Amino acid sequence: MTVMRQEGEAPLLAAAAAFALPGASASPPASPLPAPAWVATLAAARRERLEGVLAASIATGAWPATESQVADALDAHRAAMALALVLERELLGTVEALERADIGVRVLKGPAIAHIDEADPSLRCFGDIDLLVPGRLIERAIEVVVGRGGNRRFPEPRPGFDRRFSKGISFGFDRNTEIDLHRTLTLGPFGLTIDTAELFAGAEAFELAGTRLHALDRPSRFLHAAVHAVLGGPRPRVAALRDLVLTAPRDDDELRLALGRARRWQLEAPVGRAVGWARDWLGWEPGPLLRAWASTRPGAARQHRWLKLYEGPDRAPRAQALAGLEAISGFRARLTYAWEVAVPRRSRPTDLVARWRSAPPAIRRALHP
Amino acid sequence: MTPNGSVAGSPSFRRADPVLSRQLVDGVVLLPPDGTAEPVALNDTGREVWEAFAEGATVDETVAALATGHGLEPSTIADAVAVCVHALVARGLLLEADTAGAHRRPGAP
Repeated sequence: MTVMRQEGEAPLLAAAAAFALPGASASPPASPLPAPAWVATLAAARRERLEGVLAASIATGAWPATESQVADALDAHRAAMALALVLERELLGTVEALERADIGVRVLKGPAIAHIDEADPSLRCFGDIDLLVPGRLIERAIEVVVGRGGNRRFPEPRPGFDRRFSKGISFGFDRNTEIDLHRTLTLGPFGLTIDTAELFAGAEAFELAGTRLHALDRPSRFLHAAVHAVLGGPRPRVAALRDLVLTAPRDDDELRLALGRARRWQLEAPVGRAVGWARDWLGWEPGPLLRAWASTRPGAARQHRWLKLYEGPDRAPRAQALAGLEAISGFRARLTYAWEVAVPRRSRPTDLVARWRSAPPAIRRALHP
Repeated sequence: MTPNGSVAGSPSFRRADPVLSRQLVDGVVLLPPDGTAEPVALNDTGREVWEAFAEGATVDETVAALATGHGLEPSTIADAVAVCVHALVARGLLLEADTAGAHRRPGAP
């Protein structure tokens, strides 16, 4: 089990994230933090979208704070909630427009966790809207979002890449909001092994301002939280670890469902790691079956090799992309992917030379595993 | 609501529905789901005013209920409630009820 050391404000963030979390024991400080530590912790809580749990922890007296620290925390939470509402308005408008175009979606992460899994939606903060869209419809979905004023952040490498291989597409709006349309849940090989049709098939409804929306079903929310916590950045995403605990299987049937998908989608290694991190960081005690499963270092050797590509500050995005070749079934699909990753349409001749120097070994390995 | 924006007499108001909202430790944040309005953050007192209109109420009824709840004279809070109601009406969060039971924003046809 890889243990990620908690440095700087990380233990305090973990303590905030453990607020009112069943089975979690990470403790807040025993007395108010000194000013410099408080400033750093609040800034980190904002970055990690933990303003809600921090404010609640302080308000209940679980986290001791000075008068000015209380005011800081409530100000930060107020700002985070204002942003959440603006984003939810964007969510409602976008889903309505997509449904008019006959495109169903699944709401991912922030709003879904806030309204389904948290005891109070004000505990979950978020900075953008993430929607899962069936790959075959993603080009139409892009048109809809662009029609609502969305500005695509990165161009498509080659025509058809979005539909076949992309994790998703990010859009910014002049009204200072952001929407990501996802085809799958993560970049690189782990995103390509997920059965996106099965992922989309399960759903759980929730209501937002009188509108019925659909999130992933609970087992897939659990898997997504694990993937995001472990693969979403160079360090554990503490808010995602809280999501993981909130969506953890409630009984053996749900556990079998979640782990069955993890096996078929080749996500056992990141899920096992996420469970370990939630134990280490939040002091969470999973149920006995999940604990026993996670302690076996689940996942084939190939998954653990892939995991290394997501570690560290560089996170080797090109290596992740090339490793994606191993995750794609069928020679023709691999060849297409290899060509589109190695030779994006917008490459300059000098880029192509550099890419091909390193690409062939990885491509050869992937095409003939 | 009079043309100059003051709450006169005892018009009846009801909360717009739906409204996006989040509870705060010390208040509530509200946002109409349509349009481009900015979110409105109310403190605890403003939240009490907002909650008082959950089933529809007149301003006078609201002032009386809040004054009773806090052991105050209605005259001491009437102005504050009027300012809050005015702000909520201006942002489309409270709607004035007409005699037919429908609700409209002041000035709407």
